[in-house]
Amino acid sequence: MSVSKSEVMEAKEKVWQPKIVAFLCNWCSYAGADLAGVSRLKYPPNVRIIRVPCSSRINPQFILRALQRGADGVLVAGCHPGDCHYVSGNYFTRRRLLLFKRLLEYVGYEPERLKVRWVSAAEGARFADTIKEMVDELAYLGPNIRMREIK
Amino acid sequence: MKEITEILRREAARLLKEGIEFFIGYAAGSIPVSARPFFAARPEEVDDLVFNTFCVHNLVKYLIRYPNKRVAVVVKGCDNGAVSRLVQERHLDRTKITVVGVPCGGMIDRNRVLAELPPAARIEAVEDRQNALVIRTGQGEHVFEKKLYVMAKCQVCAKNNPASVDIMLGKEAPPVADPERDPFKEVKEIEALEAAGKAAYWERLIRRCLRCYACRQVCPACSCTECSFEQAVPGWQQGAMWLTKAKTLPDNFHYHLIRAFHVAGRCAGCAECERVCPVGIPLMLLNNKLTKDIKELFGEAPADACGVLCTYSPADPDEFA
Amino acid sequence: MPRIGVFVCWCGSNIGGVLDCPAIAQEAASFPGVVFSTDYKYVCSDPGQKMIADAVIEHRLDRIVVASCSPRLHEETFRQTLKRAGLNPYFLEMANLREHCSWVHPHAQEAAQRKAIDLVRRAAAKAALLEPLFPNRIPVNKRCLVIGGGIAGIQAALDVADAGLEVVLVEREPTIGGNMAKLDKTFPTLDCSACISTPKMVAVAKHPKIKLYTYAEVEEVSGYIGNFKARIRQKARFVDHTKCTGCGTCWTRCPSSVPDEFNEGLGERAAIYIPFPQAVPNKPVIDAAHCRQFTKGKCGACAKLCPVGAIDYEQKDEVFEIEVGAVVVATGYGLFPWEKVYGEYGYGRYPDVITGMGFERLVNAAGPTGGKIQRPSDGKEPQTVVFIQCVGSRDEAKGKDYCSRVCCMYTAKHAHQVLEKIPDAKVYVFYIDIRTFGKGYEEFYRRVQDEGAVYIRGRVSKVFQEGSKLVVKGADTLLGEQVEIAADMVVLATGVVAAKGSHDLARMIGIPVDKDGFFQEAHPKLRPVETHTGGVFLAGTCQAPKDIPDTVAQASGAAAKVCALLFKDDLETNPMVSRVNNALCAGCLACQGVCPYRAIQPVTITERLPGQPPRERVVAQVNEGLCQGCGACTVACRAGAIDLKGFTNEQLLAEVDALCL
Repeated sequence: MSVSKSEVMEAKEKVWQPKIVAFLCNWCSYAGADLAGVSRLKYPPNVRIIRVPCSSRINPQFILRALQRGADGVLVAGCHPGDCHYVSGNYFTRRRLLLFKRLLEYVGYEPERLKVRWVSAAEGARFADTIKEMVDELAYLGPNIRMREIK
Repeated sequence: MKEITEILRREAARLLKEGIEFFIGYAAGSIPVSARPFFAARPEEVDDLVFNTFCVHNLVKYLIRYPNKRVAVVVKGCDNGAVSRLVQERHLDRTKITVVGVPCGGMIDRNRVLAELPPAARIEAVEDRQNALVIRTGQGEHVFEKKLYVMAKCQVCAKNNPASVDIMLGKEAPPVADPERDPFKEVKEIEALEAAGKAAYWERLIRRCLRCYACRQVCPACSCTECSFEQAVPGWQQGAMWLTKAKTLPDNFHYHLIRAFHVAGRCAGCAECERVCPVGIPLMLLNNKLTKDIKELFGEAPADACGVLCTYSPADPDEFA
Repeated sequence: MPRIGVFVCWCGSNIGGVLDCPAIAQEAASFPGVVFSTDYKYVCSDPGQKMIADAVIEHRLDRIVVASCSPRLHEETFRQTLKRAGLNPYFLEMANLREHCSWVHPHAQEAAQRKAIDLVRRAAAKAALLEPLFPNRIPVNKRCLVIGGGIAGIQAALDVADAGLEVVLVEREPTIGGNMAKLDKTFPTLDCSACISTPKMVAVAKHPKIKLYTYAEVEEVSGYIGNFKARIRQKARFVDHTKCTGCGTCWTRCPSSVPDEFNEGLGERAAIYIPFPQAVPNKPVIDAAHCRQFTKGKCGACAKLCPVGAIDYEQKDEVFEIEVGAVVVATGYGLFPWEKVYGEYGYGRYPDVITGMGFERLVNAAGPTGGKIQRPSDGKEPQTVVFIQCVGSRDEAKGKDYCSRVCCMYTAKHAHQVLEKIPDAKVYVFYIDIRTFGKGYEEFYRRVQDEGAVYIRGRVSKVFQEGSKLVVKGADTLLGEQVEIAADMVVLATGVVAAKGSHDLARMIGIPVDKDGFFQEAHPKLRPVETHTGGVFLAGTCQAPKDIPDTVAQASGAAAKVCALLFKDDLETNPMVSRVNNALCAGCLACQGVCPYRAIQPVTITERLPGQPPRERVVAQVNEGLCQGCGACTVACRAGAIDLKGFTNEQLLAEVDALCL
């Protein structure tokens, strides 16, 4: 019995794939992700990007919301400390997320569910590598079911 | 305790005569082993005021209801942080309020005492004997060593004599904290669990939450004009802004994590949130976790009045590089 | 409910080759609020933009989603389209299907297709909540700051000043001229570098619109496009330039001698000096680190000699602030520090292994040898000269990955100069590839080969001293042979690297650097002289290695950008700034604590609530002129009373929800 190509694809699609929501600052990390594109670096298609002006715009509630509504992992990326387009924004991000990440882990999220990385506008490869790394880690962990109503 | 109550009444009467509009303190509770908040508006009402080992409430948050009145308030050491918090965040005008400090020998954890009495025992009398609390019921006398039955926050309290108050009553109280006890013992126990264990622990507790918001109402650090969790989206789009009022597990978690995060670095440790919770969620375990992390990550004293999250140091630890 | 139109762009085959654009458009039609969706080959083209404008009228659209390339590229293009179509330009949201999807996932088309649909759903969800935004206008300061006085800075300053605008040019060295002033001749025309650059230097000094500060550094740049403030430190020269006539008497008796930086250490200078005879300004400075008056506390030789009493050992640094509307960064380049990593060339131990820049000084008529090519060790004329290319360039192991672009040509020029000046000299050039892309470059390279330069394709494995000779061992990969040459002098074509201190400067101004430390342009092709910081432009090698013609072209380009900016009387501000909901604000001012621009101030308002007497209370207020729209305050505000226009809490939550379906 022959199986058409689309059927194979469909069967493959049914296999669970991790979903990552990424919050990227406009000036460094979003540009870094753009550079990954311009450089045609391949990385897994599991990430969905939300653009914010600065990583300091990212309210921890956005992260929690994403994790509760269907994301298996969340990536927050901003300029390297000291290189913030808005002078000091990422220093506040660092403080907030150092604490918030620990709080999430304290109530049972695995550390891999939230990743924070500094990715500059020149680091397209670092962005692509970060996504690869996250997809591997999350695939190993399995779907995120914490703090969700299981249907 | 008699002595401090008398001093308290005398001071209250004096303040009321001198033009304070009312004096907020404690009166005996309507049920045994308790006290209740009491507002004295006239000098003749001061005879109802008491101060004893059941005066658990933090009275400071009442003040924000009366921004333009001259009010005096009784504070214990653990309540005192709320005054500076509310003044810093412009909820209170420090010049209008009179802070009356009382030395505190620790507050009895009412629930633990009651739990050890025989079932259905009727309390006939309660007597405070220095280091012991004696409760007489129909079945006899029950002696509780105070040190063992004070609230968890008292066991690690380092400030049972409030500092920088306007009037300090009575003699300084000896320390109540148990020097052996690690304030973060329970937090560390949870930290040591596997992720799944932590999740199971918290899910059981958080699922109970009724979303009555008592923990928020009582918290001096939760004094927004309108809480973000009650804001609705305006316009054509219906529904809540940040989270729905539904009592679901994800929304309960969202509420509790963000409530704790909002008071991070601003929590003064009065533990009122935990005390008022009708379903017994140990909220101080969340608050203390953040307090502990702040201490470890950013050091002791927050350099900024609005808390550690309003400031930064380029030398902060960087785990994200 | 808004009426959203979705336009999916193929970008030719860039998106259309990987994603099924018609299917995306079809799917998008089912998203909440979408009343029209379509796909088109190039939405950014003229017919594409017209299609949007027509659809706005035909379908009464009031929010537009363009699913195409990165908003960092075409957001402004499509905002203008909306404006022309009569919509508020901020009713636009873009989905990045190219950089974030088709270009990076060609290997997983099915999954990429689903991702693309998610990205469009996100954009539509945000679009539904977009609000009209209206920019304010701010005045523009019609003065330009140029940082760096090399040929790039000189050209930019002259062009801007010739257009009638004021220019402040700041150079950290005692003279302007930069690296070009050190060069002898320029390839491929062999015209003398000084003859073409020194007149420009003089023009800068004489220009009525240019204020020149040499021996000065920019310490801080704050503010924003049209309204920058720069703090400049004029380093103490210990010579009063208002009195000094530049007669040159002072340095004749100076007892100190210091290796001369301008001559790449191949000569010496006094502690009071001008870097070279044609320096601008042509007045000396005292190098306090080497002056006996400062190191030993007594000397005063120059002060005694100076006929006008210009020497002032008490002079102090001066710090002052200027206001400018635009900044051109033209800080040039440095040379690869080969001594630190290239052991095979002797780590700088052999005096006769010199750099290309050193050779420029040796062969320069104004240099330490008066233009005679002499070995630094014994002053003899070298008969055999070996040139080694790609020292620090194109070397992933020890140096930089990139090609420095100028070394092939300057080496060819050096080879020509050796053959011209030394009869019967032998010249060998070790190379990896020869790159001669410019006008007349390939012809010049051929000419040098015809003149007798021997080009050997291969790397040099070792250089070592044997008697008075330098033995160069290498491989000729074309012949597959080992080569050994006994040379009199070895010249290394050291690569171009980012200038010293460029990273600090980038941080200070707030512009990004690339992986090699060069300043990052806003777009590699379409915005090569702009940075992502509005009002800051790049010129010359601070952006990437380039030769003189390219540097001058870029400098003029930057100048044109400056003029386009500064000829405006006022500028539209970014309307995506924070706003405060007074009803929610409790006045705690946590937002003020995190604002890097001091844009938030307390203000007292009178609140009138029904059934209560009017009450005065403090709330936060945002100064829209100062706010740059980072949004740090929105997270500090627990009540959500302060929000960022264009990136509101509501919009971001809707985006999260749309992606998590």
